[in-house]
Amino acid sequence: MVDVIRIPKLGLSDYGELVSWEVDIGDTVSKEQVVAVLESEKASADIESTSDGVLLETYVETGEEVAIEVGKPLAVVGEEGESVPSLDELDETAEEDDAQSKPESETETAATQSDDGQSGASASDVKATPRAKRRAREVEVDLAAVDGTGPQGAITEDDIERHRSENGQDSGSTTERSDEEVKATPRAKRRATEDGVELANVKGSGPEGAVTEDDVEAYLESAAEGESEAEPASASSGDLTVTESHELSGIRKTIADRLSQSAREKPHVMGTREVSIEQLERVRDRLRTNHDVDVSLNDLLLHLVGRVLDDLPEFNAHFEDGTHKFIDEINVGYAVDGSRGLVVPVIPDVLERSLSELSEMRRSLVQRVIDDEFEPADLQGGTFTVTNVGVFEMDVSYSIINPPEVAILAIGRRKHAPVERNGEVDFEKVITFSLTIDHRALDGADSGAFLDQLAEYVEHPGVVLDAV
Amino acid sequence: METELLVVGGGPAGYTAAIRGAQRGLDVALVEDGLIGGTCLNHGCIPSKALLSGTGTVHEMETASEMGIYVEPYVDLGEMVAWKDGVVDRLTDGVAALCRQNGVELVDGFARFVDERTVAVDDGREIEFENAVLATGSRPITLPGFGFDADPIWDSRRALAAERAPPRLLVVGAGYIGMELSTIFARLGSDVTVVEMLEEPLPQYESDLTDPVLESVAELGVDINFGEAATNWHEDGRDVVVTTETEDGEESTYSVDEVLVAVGREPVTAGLNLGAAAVETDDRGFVETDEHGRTTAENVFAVGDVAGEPMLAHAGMHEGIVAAETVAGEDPPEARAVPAVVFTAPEIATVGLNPDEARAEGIDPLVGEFPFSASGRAMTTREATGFVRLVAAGDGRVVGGQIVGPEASELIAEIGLAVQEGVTLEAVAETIHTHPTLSEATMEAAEHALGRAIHTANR
Repeated sequence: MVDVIRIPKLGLSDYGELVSWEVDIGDTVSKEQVVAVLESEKASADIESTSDGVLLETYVETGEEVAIEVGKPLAVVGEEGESVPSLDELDETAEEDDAQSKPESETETAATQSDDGQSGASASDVKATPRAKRRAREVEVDLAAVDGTGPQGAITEDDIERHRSENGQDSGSTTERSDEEVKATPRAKRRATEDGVELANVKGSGPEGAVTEDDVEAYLESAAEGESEAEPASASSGDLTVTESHELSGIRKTIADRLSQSAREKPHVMGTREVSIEQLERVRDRLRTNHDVDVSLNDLLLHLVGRVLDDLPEFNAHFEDGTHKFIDEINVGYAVDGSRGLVVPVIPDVLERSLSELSEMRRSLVQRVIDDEFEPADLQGGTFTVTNVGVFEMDVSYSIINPPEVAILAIGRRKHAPVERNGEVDFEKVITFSLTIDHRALDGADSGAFLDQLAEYVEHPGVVLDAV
Repeated sequence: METELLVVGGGPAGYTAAIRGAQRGLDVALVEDGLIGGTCLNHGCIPSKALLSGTGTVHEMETASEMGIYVEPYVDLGEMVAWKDGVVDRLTDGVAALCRQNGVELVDGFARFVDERTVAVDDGREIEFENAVLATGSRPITLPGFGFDADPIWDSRRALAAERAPPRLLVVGAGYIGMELSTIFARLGSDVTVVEMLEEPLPQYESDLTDPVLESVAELGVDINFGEAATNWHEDGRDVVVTTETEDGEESTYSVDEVLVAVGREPVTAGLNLGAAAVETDDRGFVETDEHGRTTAENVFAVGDVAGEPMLAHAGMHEGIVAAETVAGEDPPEARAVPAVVFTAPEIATVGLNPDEARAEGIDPLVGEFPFSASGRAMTTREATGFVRLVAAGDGRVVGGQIVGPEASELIAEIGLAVQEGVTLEAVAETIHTHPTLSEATMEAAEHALGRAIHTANR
């Protein structure tokens, strides 16, 4: 008989990606051998085979985003040639198993302890608060069947009540939230005041339905992306016709989480400067014609940004735990709008690469993002980020800093701007650079120095590009 | 190796004897084959109090809704146990350092008497001594058929190291260890059932002291079944099924996950070859001693649990001091008051005589009580159950006291001092106690005994 490999209790978030199958269909596997890797935005988990045998079938493909639900079938292991159940058949079996495993009532003697729904080795492994354990006993709920939302994924009393109501059991929950009064923990109140959040708009998940600091944080994160589930009453879509809705998941959720954290924690200050690119375009053209080096304006700008970062190491830095850490390696991230959202692949050691090498690396990384073939390693180790908003015909952008970096540079569109030459108005090609800094680590003067140095290099590239 | 004073066993009684002996100028060696600190520090008082404190915080949080605070704590028992182990480690390190600082030579090993002046340590060394103090302590008694080698059968040591609270726990024995551990696991959410062979819990205490404890554990959901003796157990699938029997032969069964056997402690004397030193034991195996701890051998003393009741760490420490002072030729201190405490919730603490014991000694006692329900401080801490009782002789000198209630373990010290020094009710009543505090209850009890209580009705 085949054995089904299912998603175990992992403590991962709701959605994740099946990153890889470590064995192929037809391969022999042994019990506890890792057969697949699941990854959510926070962590990855190895999925192990539950028995010895041959991997007969997989139900999820590599790269597929899956709902991480305990018990969801991923694959089957059995003897070679054995017939493989369909997903529908597996669902039916699971239901039957559930029905058979219902606890039987105990009638041994008057003094025999009634079954508390917690018996069995698995129940003692389940994390639950003492109150939840007592409640589970009272209402005869098997803790192993309840998803925990408490600290460390522990099951709370509320989880028991939610489980009961989801399963059609009467819920004597005392956690109904009063409309008249918003219940919130002192920490949540402080946080809400600090961040200007109206507690009435936040759904509480704490004891008695109280709003916790986590709830406020979750609200802020979703609000930052404009896709809040708990929208303010005035902006509620309650009476409107929603034609489409997308719950954030996977990489999109990661982006939302990280950037909203950055926006929340870093005091962002933006400065802009318009810089002539006439000379730089000439350099690009000369490189192509005289040196057979095919580089784009973007590549040259990335190189020059690397130069500025070398000159001003306070920008090539991270800000973590209250510490401004200057970093030796100059690894410039380059934001790309991929099919799964904004992705920032990193070009390591920018100044150690020739212009053609830099160009080739950037193009390859961009292509990999567009083709959705990038690796997590491609996104790691950045020390500064450049984003080209010119491709969207924007002049400036108040970009959010990619944490834990301390600044981000947005490159605006190329355009003609009027300049005064000898009392005459002339036009030349310019780009507006918008530099957003983390004001905890850097000041406006630093910002001015950065843009000044960048302008110097862009307007007079001969200063740094000897060969041209 | 030769020494003036050899101490066998490094628990509270042993290390106290060793340090005091060294302080009196004796050349002292202490042999210990386990961990310095003995049962108290490593597997008893300190670990259990740490877990009572930790789970007490859980209980306070869970009941804080009475004060409008809503919290639902989650307990990682593994982390709590690691914290407890950290406390224990700091204390044992500290005791070992104190021994060394006082010049006590620590010998790691198991000592066996060769004759009245020599022990052989299991590493082959022999130690010749002029005087020896035996302080080998006690260990949990096993119940026939419930050997601690079986996986689901726990002793107190195992319970204090558990990293998971079993869903269903059966506690055999309603003595102080059974009651304290029942409280700990019930607070952690375990379904705790206690079976006790006798008809009452904590048999050394009067029922008016134990009743508040019974009410409190009942509120935690602990089910106590008196008059039942555990007779056998077997595994049935994942369940451990324990059978009990009443005196009338009526059987009951309990299906649980783990069984904690806490039916008392026995002296550790096995392997010591006490006969070689002419040290005799009583029929329960405890070493017989006089008031100075001297055994049937002139130069061998026994202190702490191995010398029998009261098996209390502080009593053992005092006995250690008495023995060491005696060996050093000093006049040892006399203990008129040995307090005893049960760290349940509420705590029980006693010292000296209770009214019945006083009458049995021919005293017509003056008795005063003050209930915590009349204490403002007790109410503000949500622990207004129990009372303080003072017992005095006809001349007004305090001869005993009993407390059940909040901080009883701390409050008993004042009554202990009164008993030890023969302080009168008048003196206790006239001593200004801080308001509002729990300690006022002692002053009020003294006034009550004198018929002039302010905050409670006088009889």
